[in-house]
Amino acid sequence: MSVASAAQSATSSSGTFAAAVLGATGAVGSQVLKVICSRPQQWSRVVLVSRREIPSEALPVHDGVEIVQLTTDMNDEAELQELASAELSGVDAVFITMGVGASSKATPQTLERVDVTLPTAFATGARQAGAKYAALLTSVGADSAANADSLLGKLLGTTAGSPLYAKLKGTVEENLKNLGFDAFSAFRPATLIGEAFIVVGSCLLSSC
Amino acid sequence: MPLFALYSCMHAHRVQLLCKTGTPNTPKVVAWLQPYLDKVLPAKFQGSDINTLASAMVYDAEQALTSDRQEHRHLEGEELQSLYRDLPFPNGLGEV
Repeated sequence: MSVASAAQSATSSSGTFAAAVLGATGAVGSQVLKVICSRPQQWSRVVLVSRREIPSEALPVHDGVEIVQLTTDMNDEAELQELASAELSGVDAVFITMGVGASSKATPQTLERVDVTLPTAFATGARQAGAKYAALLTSVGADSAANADSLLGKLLGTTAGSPLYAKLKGTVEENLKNLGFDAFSAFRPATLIGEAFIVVGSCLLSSC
Repeated sequence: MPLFALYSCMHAHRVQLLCKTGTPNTPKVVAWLQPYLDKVLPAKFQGSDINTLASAMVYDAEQALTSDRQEHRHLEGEELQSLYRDLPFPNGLGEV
């Protein structure tokens, strides 16, 4: 098992909860990390599980919130489950925001692995370690009974919103629901929008 | 005017442009149009800002853990939009 661990900060915290995030390098997961780090009165520790370690300069300000990073190559779901089971002791809540960025470019096998197999393995391990709450990011229309073999399903393939996509999102919801978390919330947004500030003044100056 | 004075002046008053960038699954043009589409779309298909969504996920966890809530739920449409509206710390910055 190739696992690296690094505690980034351990200043005093009044927070009572500990979290784990699968997918913290993604668009939504990185924001979840940012929000947790901005609330040291609620959160004392956050464990990030990802394929690569996030450089310390890329981490959000986290005064009072300890960040622990665990890395694994994500090739083996049994290894991921074992890692979560062994390392997430004391974690109260898990946030699963892992997904395929541009799903239309993925094969059905890759999509199933990233959207169902790995999140299920991670959540199973976290539950074994004692996590009480799970938040899962899925999609509007998630439905484990969607017919991926229909004509529409074949036409749309792995595109976001296709029957296969809806089926996989619904399946992972069902899997997590059956793990016995005290509370489980599946978030089903439609279009996801990000924003960024571009400093025009600096852009002009740097081009001089 | 010396260059440093010009720089200082621009730095103090630089313009910030709010730029909708979309996500890997959301083309930029949809990100620009979404606020207008949201006015006519049913709640189920309205867009979610990733910062607000992340805040909602964290807030929901805090509520569940604090109250020992025992519930499995699916948040979409009006229920999700309502959670966004009720957030005590919008925009993912932890501001209350």
